[in-house]
Amino acid sequence: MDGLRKLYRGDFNTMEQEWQPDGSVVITLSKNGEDKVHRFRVRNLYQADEELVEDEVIQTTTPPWITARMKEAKGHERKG
Amino acid sequence: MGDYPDWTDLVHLVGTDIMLAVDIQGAYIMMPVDIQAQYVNVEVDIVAQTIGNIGIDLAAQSVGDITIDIAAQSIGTLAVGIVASTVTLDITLHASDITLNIDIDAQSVGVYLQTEWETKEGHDKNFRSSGTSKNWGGNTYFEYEVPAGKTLYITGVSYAIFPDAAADYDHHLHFWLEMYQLLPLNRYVDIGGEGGGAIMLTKPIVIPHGKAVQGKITNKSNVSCTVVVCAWGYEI
Repeated sequence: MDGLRKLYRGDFNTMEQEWQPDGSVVITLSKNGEDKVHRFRVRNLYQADEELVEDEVIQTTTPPWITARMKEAKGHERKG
Repeated sequence: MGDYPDWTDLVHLVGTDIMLAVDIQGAYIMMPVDIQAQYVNVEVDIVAQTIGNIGIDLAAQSVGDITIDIAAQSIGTLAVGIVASTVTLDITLHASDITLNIDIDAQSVGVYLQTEWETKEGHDKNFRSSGTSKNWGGNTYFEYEVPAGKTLYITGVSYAIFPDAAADYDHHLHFWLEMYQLLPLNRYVDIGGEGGGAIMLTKPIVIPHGKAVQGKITNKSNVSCTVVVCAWGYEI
């Protein structure tokens, strides 16, 4: 439900819509600086009988091995 | 009765701590102010039929926030001269006709157009929709209803069409791109073409709150294709 609320608040920077053969739409919302993506499926989007079918939050944090490499690179920079 | 026969009042204060509230009401007022002190805080509120020249000359080690709020039928020349090591200057102008002359001498300057500024502030909006296996007339679109209290400005669109089968790349890959507001139906962009492309809008498409915008791309070729439509802008 959080994703749908974000849509109605305009609380996102990027929106992707993929229409499905059954007429529903999969919506993916992301916001700058947030380590998560809201992905949900809606039937009859913006209609009186709108129905949220699926709702998930996908974490998009930087992989730990990338974070470790960045940390190492920064430490290397300080040492000169 | 003033200090002089022409009703002139002379105020001359010398002290360590001075609190001076001034409330003057008159048909004609001349008030030269000369302040010299260790610390000064001045708030001036002027309401008049006609305001002549206002000259403000500040010389200090550090100056806090300066807020100038002017509402008038017409304004003469507003000359601002600032010399400092660091400055943040926020200017908001609302007028039917604006002449803006800016002379900047600095080591680094950041000047943003509104689209860039709103993106920097995190107000940018990006929309995308894609659909595969679309035959002639098949389409995909994004739809967005602008929330209460906000306005959406669309400043650019891009579009692409690809055949689903590699063998169809030698066909003409025509598409039809549309961008419009719903209820009432206001059509803003209609593009026909082949392959794809992008355009930056010189005039943003403005969608007010409570209205929906759709960006749609339709396959107009005779082979099955993937179609993609994107649009971007900002919402404030």
